[in-house]
Amino acid sequence: MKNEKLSNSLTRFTSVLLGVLFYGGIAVTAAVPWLFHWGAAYYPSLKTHYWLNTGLFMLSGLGAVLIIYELRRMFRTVLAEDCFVERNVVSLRRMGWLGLAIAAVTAVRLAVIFTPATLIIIIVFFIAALFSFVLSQVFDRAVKYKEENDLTI
Amino acid sequence: MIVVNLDVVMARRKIGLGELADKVDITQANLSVLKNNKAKAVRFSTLDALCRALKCQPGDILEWIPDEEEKG
Repeated sequence: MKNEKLSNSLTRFTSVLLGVLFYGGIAVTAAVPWLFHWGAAYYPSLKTHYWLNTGLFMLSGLGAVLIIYELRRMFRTVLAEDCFVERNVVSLRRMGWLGLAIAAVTAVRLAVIFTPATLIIIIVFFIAALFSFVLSQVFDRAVKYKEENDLTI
Repeated sequence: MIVVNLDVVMARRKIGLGELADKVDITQANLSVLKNNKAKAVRFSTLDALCRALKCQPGDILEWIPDEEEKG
């Protein structure tokens, strides 16, 4: 009973968090040109490569929003208690490619302005992409086992 | 390949899907999967319950027939 309550509140929290991240992500990505214009007053390096930085950050933002979009899709299948489906394998694989794309875009940014934080972002997204690819393989096996189990009478 | 002749045995025993499902304690949907040869595997416990309910041998329900390639 207590565990069920905890699980329900955790589910609601995750669902709300993913919604906030998704719509917040869209808003922030769309606002990058204005944010950088405003931020240039505090960080002069943003002014030097304004358009390149704006483009790269918007691309990274788009990748992140698409990752959250896939996560929301996956979470809906968890809520429907039918998460071991081929569609989620595709979602995880897409998230892996998107993670690699973000790492690549950030690597271009590294060539423009080198900061240790940028290097860490590349490593984090690269590892997250690998994690996602491995998870997609595990999910693929799980889907096959589930289908087999469902057809064992 | 293995063919499930459950429908033949059911017709011989004059028993419907719902009644058999009740007797062997599995859902009608699962029994339908088995009857329509869509199942990938059958548990011994299910086969045991089916043979008990239909008063038959496993060989009456399951039959092996050669594949198309083997026939040719």
